[in-house]
Amino acid sequence: MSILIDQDTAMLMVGITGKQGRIHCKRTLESGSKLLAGVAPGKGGKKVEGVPVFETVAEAREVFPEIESAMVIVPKEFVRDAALQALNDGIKLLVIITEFVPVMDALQIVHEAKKLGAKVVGPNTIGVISPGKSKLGIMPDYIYGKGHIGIISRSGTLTHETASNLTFKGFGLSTCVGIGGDSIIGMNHADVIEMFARDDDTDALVLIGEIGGTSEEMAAAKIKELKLKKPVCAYIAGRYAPENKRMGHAGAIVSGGMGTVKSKIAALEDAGVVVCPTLGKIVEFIDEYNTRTSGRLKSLEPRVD
Amino acid sequence: MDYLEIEGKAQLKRFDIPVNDSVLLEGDEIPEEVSYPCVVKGQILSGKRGKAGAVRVVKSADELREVKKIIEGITINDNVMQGVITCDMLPIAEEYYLGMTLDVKNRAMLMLFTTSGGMDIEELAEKYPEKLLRLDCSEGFDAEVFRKEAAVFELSEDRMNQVADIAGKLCDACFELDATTVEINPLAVLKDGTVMAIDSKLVIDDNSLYRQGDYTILPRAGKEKSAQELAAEEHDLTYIELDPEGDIGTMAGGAGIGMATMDTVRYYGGRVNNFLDLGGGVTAEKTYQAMRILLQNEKTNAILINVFGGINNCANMAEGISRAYIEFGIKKPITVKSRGFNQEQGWEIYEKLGFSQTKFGTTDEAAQKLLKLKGEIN
Repeated sequence: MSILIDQDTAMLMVGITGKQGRIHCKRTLESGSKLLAGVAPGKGGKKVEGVPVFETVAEAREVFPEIESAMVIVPKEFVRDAALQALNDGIKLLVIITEFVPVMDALQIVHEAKKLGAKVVGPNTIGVISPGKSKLGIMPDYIYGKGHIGIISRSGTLTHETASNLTFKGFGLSTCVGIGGDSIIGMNHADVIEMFARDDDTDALVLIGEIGGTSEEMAAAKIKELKLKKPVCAYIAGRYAPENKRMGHAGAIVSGGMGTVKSKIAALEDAGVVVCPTLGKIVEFIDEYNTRTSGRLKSLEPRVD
Repeated sequence: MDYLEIEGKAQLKRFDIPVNDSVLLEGDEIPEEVSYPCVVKGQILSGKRGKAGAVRVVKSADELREVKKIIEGITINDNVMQGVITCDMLPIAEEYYLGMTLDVKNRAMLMLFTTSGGMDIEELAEKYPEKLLRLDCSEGFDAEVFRKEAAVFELSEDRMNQVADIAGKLCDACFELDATTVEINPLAVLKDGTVMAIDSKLVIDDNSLYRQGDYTILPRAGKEKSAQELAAEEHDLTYIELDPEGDIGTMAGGAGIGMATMDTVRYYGGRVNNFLDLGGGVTAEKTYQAMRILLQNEKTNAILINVFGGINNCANMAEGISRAYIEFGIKKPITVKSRGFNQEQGWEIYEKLGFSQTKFGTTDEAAQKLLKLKGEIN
């Protein structure tokens, strides 16, 4: 399997006619993902890269009822309305790419999704990719090799970094989830861990966190609660970040001793997670573990090194 | 965005919450409306004002002048005083606490209330959690629920009416102001039974500033910004000064990779003097400016560039970097790790400039390469 998305996932893109929308529509199609429709108010009836554009998500789903996954790539001012519409029109997995979404809007979206039994990934995320199968996001798919390692990360670029490090060293990935760098996001590390725990295709987990918030501490608690047998290694960015400075991500602010690297490392180690001081060490851990257990973590579609 | 006490109180007033009056002391003149004794309060973007001596009582205009000077010189955790106000002495019988705050862990807007106000709320939450009412107001304020939950405090009917009324208005203020924190500590009960806010804390979500007004009353004084910080601000780049002794400059495409770059260089023994995040939607102009800032920083002897072409494009980024490098002709050891969309075109540009590159390796390898170039490791 893989989690959240696979080769059969039918998807639409809200904001397909925008500059970023057009670029990523093309790249999504090139990756082989089933992007069937686009949504852009006032642009219904047009086509982008051959993909039909609809006025609303409901109209798109009338033609393509199989679509239950969507990504939102509209300016932050329009994210709330776009996301609420998508959720109310039957989208069950909603990836919100846009960054700098107002906190109150994100809260409203997350609450609405909970009521409707839908999953939200983001805001401020690169999305989700199950390499070799499908992507619902904006990542360059060729630095994501196919295999059996799952990645969960708050940071988009660190997902790229970790995935490409592993891929270029010959390892493969089942699903990579960028959960988003904002303080209020949909799925957190723990929610994704729960899904990976049940996934036959995922043999090892890489958890990328950063300073601020409590997502990593909650992940540690979840790993303990599940008595997770799969190995987990982690990296926490911002070891040397100064206090009370916003390092780009709203989530990454350390204040008053909360969300420090120390508390995160302590919680994760207590849950049996191997915490690596740099991202390079994650590759070393995976390599060592795979050799020791004669595992199947090597890439199914090796890339050049 | 953080607001000062008087600014927060002005907003509370806008939502009909009773607040005590403040007189702003501008210049050396003491306004006539100040009556004595009065409370003098320093305006600073920090808690612990009382402990730092920035809240005092004075009995005369002369004493006020003196105390004003003292308070103006107080700093708390690197924060400087932004101004000084006076407030009338009020006959306070009790001090409550009422606040709204973003609960990231539970994804909720939480209302907090206690009749044991005046003290640090984090301390209270830890020591006497049973004395702190927590109410999820993510879907708005429900007066019935508040009254039911607050019954444990055994307030008189009149008191409860006033508190519930203020609580409802505070919730409205929180949502309308896009506040991640709005706090009244203390919410004072006067001897005649009137309940009013005599202090405030207001923090507005940075992502929402585009749809909020500018509520500042006092211009912000702060530590002077470096030339690099100012230049970065002008070009919409995130730039943070780090290790003052550091001589390695970094440029990263994303907050996460920026932090990881800084951590990794440090791990291998290098010292980084800045964090520079290009953010999303990077153009050649942006990388040109970022490169210029790093090249022109005299404290920087070597540069590590770590970018991804995800939402960005490797070739565009390389173009800007190349243009700055050629234009300014400043030679420093430079290592680049650039991956993602159009990576091959990017690599070609860096190749021509003679930069050292890590194409398929990790950030660890890029950091080690740069330190080798600098002759710091073998």
